[in-house]
Amino acid sequence: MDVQVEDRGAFSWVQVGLEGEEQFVSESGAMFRASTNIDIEVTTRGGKGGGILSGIGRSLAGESFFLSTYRSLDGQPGDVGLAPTHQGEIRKIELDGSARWLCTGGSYLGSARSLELDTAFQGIGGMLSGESLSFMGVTGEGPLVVTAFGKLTEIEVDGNFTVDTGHVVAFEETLSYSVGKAAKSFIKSFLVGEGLVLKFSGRGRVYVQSHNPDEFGKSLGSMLPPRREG
Amino acid sequence: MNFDIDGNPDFGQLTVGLEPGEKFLAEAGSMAFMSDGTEIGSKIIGGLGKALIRKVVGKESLFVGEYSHPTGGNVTFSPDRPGMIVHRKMRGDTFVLTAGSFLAATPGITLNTKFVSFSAMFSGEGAFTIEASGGGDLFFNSYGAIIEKQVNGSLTVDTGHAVAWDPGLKYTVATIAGAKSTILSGEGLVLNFTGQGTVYIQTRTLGSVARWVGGMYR
Amino acid sequence: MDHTIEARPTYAYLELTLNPGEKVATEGGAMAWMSTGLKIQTSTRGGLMAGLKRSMLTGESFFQNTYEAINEPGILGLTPSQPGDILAHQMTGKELLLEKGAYLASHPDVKLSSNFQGLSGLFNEGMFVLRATGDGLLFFNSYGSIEKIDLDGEYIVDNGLAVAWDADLSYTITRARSLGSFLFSDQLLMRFSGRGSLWVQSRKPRVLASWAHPFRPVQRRDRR
Repeated sequence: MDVQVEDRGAFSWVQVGLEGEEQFVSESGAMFRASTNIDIEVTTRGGKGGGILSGIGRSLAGESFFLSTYRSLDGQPGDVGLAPTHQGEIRKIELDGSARWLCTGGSYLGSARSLELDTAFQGIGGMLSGESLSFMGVTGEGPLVVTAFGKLTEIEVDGNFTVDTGHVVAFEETLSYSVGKAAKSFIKSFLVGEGLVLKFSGRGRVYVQSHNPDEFGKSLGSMLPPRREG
Repeated sequence: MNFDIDGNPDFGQLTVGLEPGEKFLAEAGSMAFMSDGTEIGSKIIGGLGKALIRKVVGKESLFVGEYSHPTGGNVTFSPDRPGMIVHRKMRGDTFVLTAGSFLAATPGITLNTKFVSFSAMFSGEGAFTIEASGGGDLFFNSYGAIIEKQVNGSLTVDTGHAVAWDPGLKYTVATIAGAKSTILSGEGLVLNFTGQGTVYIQTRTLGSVARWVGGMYR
Repeated sequence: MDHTIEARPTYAYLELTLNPGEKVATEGGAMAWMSTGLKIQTSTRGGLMAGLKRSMLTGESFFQNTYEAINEPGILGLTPSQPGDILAHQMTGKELLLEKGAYLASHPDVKLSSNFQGLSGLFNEGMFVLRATGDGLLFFNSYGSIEKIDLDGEYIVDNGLAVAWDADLSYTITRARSLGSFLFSDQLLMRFSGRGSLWVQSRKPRVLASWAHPFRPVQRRDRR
């Protein structure tokens, strides 16, 4: 399996080369080109042993979350081109099985089929102040591809580090983390427009994005035509 | 305070290094990550009356955050839209920003809001411009790239594309001359600048993207 | 008429310099800046006023503005709606088809007409295609980056990725297996065949529209 990040600044993309029995999973809709011998299967999960997990059409970050699995039909080499939803940088993280990674739904682009995806993980903070923080757990060995809205920065945390939740892309679970308010009080945090922050401590890697898709969505959304409820 | 702008022109982000106790103002919602121990306060720009107008016409937040760190630390900010961040050194002069383009400023800069009707209706942003004056560092941003145009007599700029300009320039708001109607011509309102000075223009607008995206829904 | 395309490839813009008497046609809504003295004319293509007003809300209309320098040279800065690139294409008698959102500007000798390429029986499913004929420069834009493909054979592409193509090429629009978004339940594919040029973009507009959908304001039940 060959996973190549094509760095094109805002319009970066990923090229995945598959042959033999290799399989790659990505969020559906990410594929924008594929060689003719690539087979695509849409599932509502990609995890232990295949099959459908409870929670079909389960909402992850507010939208139905569908996954596509790609493989070579004839075993011969084939490629798939994947593009993220947002403009921004892409990073391939090679998981070595030592730690679980947590990745936000919007930042997940794809992963080798051998990695287990736990889309049921919603462990952080819950419904504090109306924001739902859902992360996806990724375990195993193999490549995980994450995307940023904007610039992607890798932070090697050794001590303490605070990130606005909308700017978190992915992090190693070797870190301790807790949800907090940006400012000393909820009122102050709300007034200053900051929502929740993730406070990391310990040692591990955190990937952050320069821009917050929710902020952009709110600004853009206010100018879009209204929709019916539901 | 020292600062670094990284990621221009596609997605600029601003990182400031704060000395102990030093204060820094930034647009609500723009903080991305920060050193542990950073303190955040809130400040109202423009006074409550004007702030209410901002709220009423759609811009959610009327506050800016005031950031400081008791022992010194870094804070990284980014605007809500990807594009460029421009730094302007203010030396007792004045500068005009449109709603949505103010990102951050050192406390020596005074910010005043001014209600303008053109902004809210067509660009979808808040109904005000911001007059920045004083001394210090001012940071503003765009959606898209920013280009500078020297006005030498006159220049017409679509309101959604105007980001900032020298206050020496005069302007009037108009519909496009010669168009059968503003809706039909597709252009919203324009600013007819006259005089001498620089206008900063962005190469994309949220309003246009919203129109394009909106057209895809049934 | 001189032109320059800058700020490529993410937020490209087109700046034109018109000499007295020179005209250029543009997509309605593309003007970002211009010399104050330029004369502007608006034309509509097809549809009645009522239909036009309705279609303004859905983005289906197509109309152009024509800018003309009268007494002195003037500049005109044009920007597309979507982030991405702009290409200048010299038309030389060969007809070109364009996805409606890709049209930015053209020399007045280039004529454009619009029509809707749908799937039979389906309203608003398909794409709006413009037909460009004549000689002169044509400027089109993309969502994402643009790639030119010199086709000799067959090529299948998601219809959201096709920007422009030689009218010589045959194509059919077909429905493919669902890829899961509840807003756009089926993927539409374009199957091109023949010999000619085809321009494709790297990002699917529909993906952005799906993502933005939850951020839309909710319509209140009580209609006024």
